[in-house]
Amino acid sequence: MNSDKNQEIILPAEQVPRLFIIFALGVSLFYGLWWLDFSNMESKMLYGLLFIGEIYHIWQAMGYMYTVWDQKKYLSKTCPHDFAPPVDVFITVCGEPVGVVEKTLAGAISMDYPNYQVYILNDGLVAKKNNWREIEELAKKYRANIITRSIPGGAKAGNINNGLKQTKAPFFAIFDADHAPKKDFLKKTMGYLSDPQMALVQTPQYYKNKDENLLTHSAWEQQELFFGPICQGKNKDNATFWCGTNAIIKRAAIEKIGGIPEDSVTEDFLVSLFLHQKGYKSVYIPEILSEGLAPQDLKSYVSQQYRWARGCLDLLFRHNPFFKKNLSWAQKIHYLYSSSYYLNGLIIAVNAFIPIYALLSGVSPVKEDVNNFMIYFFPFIFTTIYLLMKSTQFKITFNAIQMSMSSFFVFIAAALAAIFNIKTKFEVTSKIEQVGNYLIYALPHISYILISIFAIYFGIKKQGITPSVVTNTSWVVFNIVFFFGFIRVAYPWQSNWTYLKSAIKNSAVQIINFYKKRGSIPYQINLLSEKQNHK
Amino acid sequence: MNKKCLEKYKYYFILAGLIGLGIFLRLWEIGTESLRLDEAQSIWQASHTTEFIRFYTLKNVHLPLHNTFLHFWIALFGGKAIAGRISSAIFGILSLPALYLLSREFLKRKWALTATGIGAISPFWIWYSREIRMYTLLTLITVFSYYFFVRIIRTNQLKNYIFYTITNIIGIYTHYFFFLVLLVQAVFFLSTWKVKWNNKLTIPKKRVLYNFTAVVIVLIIAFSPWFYAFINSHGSGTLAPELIKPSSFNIFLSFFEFTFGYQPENITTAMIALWPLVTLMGFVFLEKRRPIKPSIFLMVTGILLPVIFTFSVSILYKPIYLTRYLIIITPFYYIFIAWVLSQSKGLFQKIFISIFGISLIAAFINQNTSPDITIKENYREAINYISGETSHRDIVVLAPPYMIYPFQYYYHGPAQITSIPIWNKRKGAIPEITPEKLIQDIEIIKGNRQRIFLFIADDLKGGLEAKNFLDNKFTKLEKKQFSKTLWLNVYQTEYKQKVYAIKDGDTLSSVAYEFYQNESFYKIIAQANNLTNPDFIEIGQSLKIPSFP
Repeated sequence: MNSDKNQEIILPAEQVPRLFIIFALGVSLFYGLWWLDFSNMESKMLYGLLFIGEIYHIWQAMGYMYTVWDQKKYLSKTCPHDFAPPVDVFITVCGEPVGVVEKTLAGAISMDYPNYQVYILNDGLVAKKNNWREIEELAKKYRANIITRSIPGGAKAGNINNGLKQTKAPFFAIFDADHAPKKDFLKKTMGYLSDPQMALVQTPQYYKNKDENLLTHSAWEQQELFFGPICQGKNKDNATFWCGTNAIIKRAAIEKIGGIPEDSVTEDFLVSLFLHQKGYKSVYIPEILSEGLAPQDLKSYVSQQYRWARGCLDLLFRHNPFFKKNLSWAQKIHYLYSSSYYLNGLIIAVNAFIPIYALLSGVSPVKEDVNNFMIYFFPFIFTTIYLLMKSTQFKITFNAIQMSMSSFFVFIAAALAAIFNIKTKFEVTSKIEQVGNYLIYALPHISYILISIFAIYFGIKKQGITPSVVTNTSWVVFNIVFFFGFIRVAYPWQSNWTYLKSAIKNSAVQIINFYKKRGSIPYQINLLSEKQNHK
Repeated sequence: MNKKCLEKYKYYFILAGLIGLGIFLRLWEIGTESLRLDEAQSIWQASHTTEFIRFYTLKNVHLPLHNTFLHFWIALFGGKAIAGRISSAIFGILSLPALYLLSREFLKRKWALTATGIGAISPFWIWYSREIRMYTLLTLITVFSYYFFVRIIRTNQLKNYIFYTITNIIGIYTHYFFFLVLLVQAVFFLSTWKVKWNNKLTIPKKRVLYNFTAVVIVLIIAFSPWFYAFINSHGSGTLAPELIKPSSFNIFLSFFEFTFGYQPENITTAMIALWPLVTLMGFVFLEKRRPIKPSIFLMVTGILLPVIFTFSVSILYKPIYLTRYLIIITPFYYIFIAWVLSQSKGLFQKIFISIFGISLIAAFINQNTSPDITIKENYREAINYISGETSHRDIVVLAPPYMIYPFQYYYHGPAQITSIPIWNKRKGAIPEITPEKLIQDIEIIKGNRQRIFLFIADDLKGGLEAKNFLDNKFTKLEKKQFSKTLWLNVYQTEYKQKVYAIKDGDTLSSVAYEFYQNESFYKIIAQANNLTNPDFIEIGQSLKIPSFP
């Protein structure tokens, strides 16, 4: 949509009045005070679990407040006339459809910059993809360079390292196969790299297909939050990290950290950590300078989220930023905040099952006569909601949060895999829509609904309609409404409902017509004559 | 008529319908329910001279305007319950078109009508439209005050200033909490100094500030005679009601009552337990939208600031928190609900509106019909019963003494009426209940009466104390409950003569002590038995013991 593109060139983020952020901080700490008052506790285990969860939520809220404290926008800088070093533009391909790669390639070769070369880094051969030869022909057609890797290892990181070995420009830009750069990408980003300490310039991911279906829409809204206030808030502390695509990196810096680490799933996150340790600078420009594709079906969305979660949690467990030398405290906070986001899955699951447990067993985490929780909780939750609204210029949506909450089991799987260091093969996010039935990914959510219906029935039968039962039921409903996110996009409900409606309508019309015919006179006469014939 | 004209008339038609609904719900069977304690007190005060009203409301820490108005209303229409209630209902009915006007400053027609609809069937507003107190007048004046305030900051016209001043003068003489309304306006005006309220007109902020200051000066002058009188009378004992310290739960209870009115306790606690769903609504509210208009901030301030202020003062200094005093936030509260409904989209909007509408209607029906509601006080039935049961040898005792107001209104029996503690309402404050005073008063009350009819309200201070004391002192003959908080206990105070047989070791003094707790009363026993020599008693001799003098 053209008009949309022009309006959303800069990702929305607004400086929230500092006074309000301080107020929000105060309100969050005030909320924490209620939990620290252990005299409210009834069941140690349940209370303890909730306590951990709420401390986590307060930590995340405070992290967000810290992030949006200073939303200094770094706008694109056109490079000075005398600064136009050569740039290698890498497009990493691993089995994506030729049509998709073609668009990216077409964008890449028509950029407005005097001195660059385009290289397709083709992993199709080593990853045993069918179309690696077609990619080679595509490169030939557009007269771009192509490096088809023949020695496997290290997935995307290995691919890039291989590409780096065979090129020599001082800077390189990386694009995923589906993220097509715009004309002025290099022109607007190279300006920052005149600073010798600058190693990374990151730009947002934009989903061209965001209006295609509910899932792409929600995925884009999630990106708006991340690439909006969150990334922009990292600029002030030099904590911008590489997001895998749509970035320019300084080659010398990568060489200094020993190449791109090939043992991690989300190598981009780790590279940024190493770069910051070496004292390099990074910057995020909130301008949309390339266009990509959102995952269009639930399977691709889940695998994308799994990858991101796995990478961040790997970093948290194996390369914990807290213990890394040469990082400023602000940078550590940013890394911890972003990577610990994916611990959310466990917290959501625990918070979802505590009311079920309370309904079934009658055990409550909090004493019956405690009724001051709301006065601590309501200011906290509504201030946080308003902070989210204001900082994203009222663009944050319920859908985005709903999808995050629904992804809880994906995050849990990633956490377990990270803890036990399970090796998983990673499929590249599919770029074509596969319409169909992905209800299997909504299985945890559907089973939660069924379990909760039983638990509510059981709770009411055993304890009656007490305030405790009512509150626990309300929390269960709260969770169900959020979990509905996956169920909504797992199955083409809308089209099937329309089909069902028309099918019913058709058969109804047929039945009516049949009875109409029966009643009509010519029909009766025919029937009569048939009877006479029989006689 | 063209289409747009027709559209506008459609809205006015609906508005008229909503007002009609409001009239019906407020006036239907308005006189059938028993007078409540506060109402009886209002009528009693208003039946006196305006000078007395002024004196009494000074002591009562209230303001005289409504009672003075009631004085003239009763003079015109009589002092029956239904007449007084209709006056409250009229203010309640007028609040509906006023609410529509105020909502139109913030919302489109459709949603202003929604807000008016909420006001029309609001069980809380309907309750106070049927109560002879100043709360509907306070609500009406609050709506007008806010309306003229918004008109001033949008147009800066002289006529709005005039109406604003007049409205505020009425307001500050109606209820002390009206000052919170003015506080909200001041806070809002100063904190949105930079906001431009009218794109078509340049309104100089400094000029508006000067004009407001002039209004404030007029208000101070208008209020000063009362303020002066208040300072003077302070210290000579107050009849102010003693309130209890609120807990944070009270705040949520208040909001529940603003929304659903007064409900039986089990329903109230069960529905407040649904609070996680309010959190859910906060999240569902997140949609891509244009920035929230600054005028919405006035609504939020108008709702939260009085509550926070009242609660803080109650905790830190002196309890002044009562849900009905905070009726001043309800106009903005209902407009805010309509605004939230207007901001939701599609399916959620339909779900919200249906659930909310149905629960409001159910709440209204329940408030009207259920007898379990604490603030429904069935004085009429109780007092009619007492009127029938009492004889001239009985005495009726009320605890706390305030109950004298509804009691006098309904009682038509022969017994004398008094209270614990004994109180002359014209003279001054109700005395403190101390154990000594209790014993003293009971002696005076008992006299040579046959029975004590103790009538208490168990939710008011002094009621249960009196009941417990009498339970321990006298034999209870009967116990009856009328509505949730009103109890009648009948005690026997006169006993038939007793007979006592002298035992080994008894003296007349010891017997006197046993029956009268006073040895020197042996003379009474001696006299009753014609004993010439009080020292001469025989073992086994039976003595008549007269009842306590």
